[in-house]
Amino acid sequence: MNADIANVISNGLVTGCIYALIGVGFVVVFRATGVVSFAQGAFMVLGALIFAGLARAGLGLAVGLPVMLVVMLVIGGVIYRLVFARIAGAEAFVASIATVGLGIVLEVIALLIWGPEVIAVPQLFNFRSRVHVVGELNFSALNLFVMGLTVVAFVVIVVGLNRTPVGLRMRAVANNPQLAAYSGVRVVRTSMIAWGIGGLTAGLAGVLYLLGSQPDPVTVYSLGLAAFPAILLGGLDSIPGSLVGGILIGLLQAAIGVFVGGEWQDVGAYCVLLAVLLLRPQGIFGSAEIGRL
Amino acid sequence: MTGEMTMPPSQVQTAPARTRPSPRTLPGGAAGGAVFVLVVVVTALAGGQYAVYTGTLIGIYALVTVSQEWIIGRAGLVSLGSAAIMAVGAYVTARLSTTSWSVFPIPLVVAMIFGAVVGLLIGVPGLRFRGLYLMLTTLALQFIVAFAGQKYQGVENQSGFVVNPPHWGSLDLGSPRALFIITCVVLGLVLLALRGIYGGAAGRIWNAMRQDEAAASVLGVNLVRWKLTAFIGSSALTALGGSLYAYQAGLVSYGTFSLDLSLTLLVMVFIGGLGTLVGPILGAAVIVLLPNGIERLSGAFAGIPQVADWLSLHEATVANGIYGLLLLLVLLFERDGIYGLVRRLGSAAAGQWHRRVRRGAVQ
Amino acid sequence: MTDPRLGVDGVVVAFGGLRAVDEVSFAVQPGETFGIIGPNGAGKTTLLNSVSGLVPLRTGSISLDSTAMHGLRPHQRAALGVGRTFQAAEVFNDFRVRDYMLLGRLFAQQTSVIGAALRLPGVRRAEKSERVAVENLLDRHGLADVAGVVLKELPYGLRKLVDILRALAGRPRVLLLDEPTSGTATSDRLALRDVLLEAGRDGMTTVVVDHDVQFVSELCGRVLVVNFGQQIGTGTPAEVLQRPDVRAAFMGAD
Repeated sequence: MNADIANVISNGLVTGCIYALIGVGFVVVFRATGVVSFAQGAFMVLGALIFAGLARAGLGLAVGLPVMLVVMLVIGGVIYRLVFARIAGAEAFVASIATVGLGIVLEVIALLIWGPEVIAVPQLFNFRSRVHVVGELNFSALNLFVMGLTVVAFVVIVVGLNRTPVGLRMRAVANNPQLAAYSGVRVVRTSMIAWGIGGLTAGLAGVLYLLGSQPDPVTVYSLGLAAFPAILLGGLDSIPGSLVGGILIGLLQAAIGVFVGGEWQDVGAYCVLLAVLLLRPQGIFGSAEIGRL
Repeated sequence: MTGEMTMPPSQVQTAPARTRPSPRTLPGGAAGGAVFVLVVVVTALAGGQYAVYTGTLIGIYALVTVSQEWIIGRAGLVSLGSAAIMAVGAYVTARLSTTSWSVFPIPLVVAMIFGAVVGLLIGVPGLRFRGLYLMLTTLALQFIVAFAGQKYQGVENQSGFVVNPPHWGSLDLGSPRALFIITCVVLGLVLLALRGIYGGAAGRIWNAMRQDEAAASVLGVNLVRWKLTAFIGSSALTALGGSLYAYQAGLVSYGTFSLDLSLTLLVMVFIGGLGTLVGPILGAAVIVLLPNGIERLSGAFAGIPQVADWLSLHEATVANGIYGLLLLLVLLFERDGIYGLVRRLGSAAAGQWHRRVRRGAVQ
Repeated sequence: MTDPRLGVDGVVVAFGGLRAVDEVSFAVQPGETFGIIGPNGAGKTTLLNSVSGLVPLRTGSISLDSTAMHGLRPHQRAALGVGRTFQAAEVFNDFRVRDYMLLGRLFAQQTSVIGAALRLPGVRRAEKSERVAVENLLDRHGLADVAGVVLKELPYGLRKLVDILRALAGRPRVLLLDEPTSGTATSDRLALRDVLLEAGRDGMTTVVVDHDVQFVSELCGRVLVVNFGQQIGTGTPAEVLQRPDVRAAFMGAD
């Protein structure tokens, strides 16, 4: 295998995993409440900063990561309850615009508390240890960690949605909120959980991005918007779609980075977004009704 | 359980009255116009350097927010790419200003045409479906235009294209005061044109679409056509705003027309209030004056240096946070924006007054 | 008999696995006032929505004066002459009465945006003459004094009347009335009935969907009864209402 192609695969998979995590939270929120969240990037920033604070305080991955996830779960749920519960059900479109405002507010809060500098986090990984796979293809320990956690997150979410009572309620709300309410599902609480999951997965994506690069908060924030091509490609309401879309866009951007030039990466992804809108607006896995949303 | 229970919720019979803000029929246009002319004339004659500069800026942003309100408040669509379309107008103006086509107002007209074409190109894929897809398409536009702008500027124009001041033959129109007057005249003409449009059949059609798309289509409204019309028109006017911006700034570079600017414009429209022409102008004025207000606030805290320093250090961030918070608050609590709030307070005060008068009459 | 004004043939509308309208066929002749009755949730409104083009057909066909319409979008059907009122009078709550009436005459209007922007004299004249026509129409029905009132501030029954006048103002080839009496008082019903009888005398072809059997019986020569999306029978109101299965359907629902 050619070294360039090996690079594309390993970089693309890692970036793709981060897109997939941003995307899966987006999809869960969208399915449960119909809101297109432009605040995923802000949740990423919060997750990354909270984790970095915990890590600097001496908590390692084993403690810091779960604590961050719980905090983000709570933040997501509380924000839904305080801000969106009033309007999300009736006016998903207005609520979607409101997430733009929410994203700005959260980002500004983070900037005012932690400052705009590169997020400092102690070295938690030995980056040099590389695992050889085949030919030129090898992954760093960090890469494997990112991919492993992404797989775990998807397994937990898919199993959780399909096998647990909470998941079943969430699906009922996603299919028909009114009917779910009639049948005794507490729509607000279920939607809170969905937003909590949205916050949690975005936070996880933020941390994984933080571990791989040395970003400042604004860079993390803009990654939340950069995930839209992946989300749309997979299908706004499809959980497997968010994984496939994320990986495909990750690989595409990595390929552009290696063969064309890094500056073309974002614009390439957005051209895919336009192409998807023109040719298959529901994405690869999305349901056809989404196209009429 | 029977048929209609499980119908998709968007159909006519179940559609509740949308609670999107309701446009009013145009209130006292003559009075509003007189106030507008008065403010412009006084500022142009007696305003200091700062007033003229700020006035121009408010005028330019007001032009853009009024055009964005066309799609948001009338057609019920939201664009995240208004800055990108401003950029198109600004680039066109910058390039024409150094050619023989620089005679005023040729660059403005050409900028409008380019804006309309971009609106058409983006509107066709973006408007086949409901509002969400236009948001995503215009988000893409925002990134693509920034990238194209960067490439277009290249290395030799890295800091941007220089814009030569507008002129009529040998008459230079580039002084701050002349630019202020040009901006206000253009804004005034645009307001008149929009009043004409909204007062006629087209205004009623958009009003119907905004209240209930499905029901409007049953009345005979071709939804795609009318959304596209609004988007093309609004894009042409947004590019016109970009053209004026280019003259005012004197230098055009892609960095100015960022997603942040698009979001700020969105905030201006929403906090000003939808469904009126006055609302977006108010919104533009408030947001342009806000950083200045924060500066004064930090001045007011001069006695407490910690607060004053913190405020002046974080001025831009704080302003940004206030924009976001205002957007959130307006969408959650006061959908008619500042203008709606003013009207409501005004009518409440009038009610109080009437009650007092009545009480007085009884006693 | 000539081609019907409105022909509905074997129409099936399904949401998921549920058939909201199941193999319904009927034909309305020019100038006829045709009723569709059935208990709540029988699929009456869905049937109207399928004629308007708001819900897709699974199978079947719909024609207007023998032109097939079922492939057309709602606005195209409206342009062909399908007029309609709305069950919920709240749909266009924010309009003033006169502006709502103007909306009913969409096809007669000058909609040039550039013309309006430039305030061309032709456009302004056309708008003015439209406004005069609407004021006259309102005057004729004794509504001149509410012309400037916003719809949501009108009594419910009056809103329903305005909605019907709005639809009539567009001079449709077939007028679909969706539950004109729902939420109205007896006095409103008499006014609605008179307007519809007059329209019928003028040759208007009308399809009335309503749950008020008496109202429909007074207006319509023929009625169709639907229940659970299926048609139970067609005939004169007197005939149909005699049938035991029809009576059972209504008793069961109420």
